Amino acid sequence: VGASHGSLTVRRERQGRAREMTVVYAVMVAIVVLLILQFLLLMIGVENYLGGKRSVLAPAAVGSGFCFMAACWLIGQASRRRD
Amino acid sequence: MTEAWKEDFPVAWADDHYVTRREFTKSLLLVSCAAFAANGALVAMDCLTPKKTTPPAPVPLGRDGGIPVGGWRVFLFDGEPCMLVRLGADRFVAYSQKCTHLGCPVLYRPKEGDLQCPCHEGYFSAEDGRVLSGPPPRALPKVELERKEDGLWARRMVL
Repeated sequence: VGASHGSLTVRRERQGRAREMTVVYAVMVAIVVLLILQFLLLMIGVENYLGGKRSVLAPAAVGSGFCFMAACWLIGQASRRRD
Repeated sequence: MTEAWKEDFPVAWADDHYVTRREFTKSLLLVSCAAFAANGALVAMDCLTPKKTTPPAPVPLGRDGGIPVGGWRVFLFDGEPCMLVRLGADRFVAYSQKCTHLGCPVLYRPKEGDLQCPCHEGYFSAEDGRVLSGPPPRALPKVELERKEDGLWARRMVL
């Protein structure tokens, strides 16, 4: 009974760890997506700045800021789960 | 029992170059911060650049632009190099000479009837300045012309 209980505990631990890893990878993928979005916003910003269309700059910066904050929040959540 | 030197160096040489997920995620966050800072820098540069409040002074281009039919020449408008093209006896168009891709000077090709940026093979229509092919992302800024009694005048730049 003790041996089967021990193997069950190990399996549960493994399952829990696998779930944790899924969350960690999901967070990493989400951050990469946010980063791509930020690069797109930066490209749009530079393009419009050089083209003389200045009205796009502030919304692009705000959007980039939101992406950065979202990335920080995601990392915070992932770290909290891990700890 | 492990040897003393192994306890002093618990990380193997190969593992020392191994990037952990935590470090990778941190570097992603750093790049994200840099992208945000770059976007913020653009806004700051825009705010710090003094805005032009007075319209640029009109530039006289001569009675017939000083060029034959099918010819072209460069003139300065508001400090920017611009090109005047004579498409017909009484048809003139003018554009900024700076390519919208990376700012190379654009040239007129009378035989082909288009404007070429030789740096990266960008082509613009001579009729309206729109992009025909190549990497330029936008049409060439157009210079509005006005015909007066004393000749042709460049009035303003239209982005």
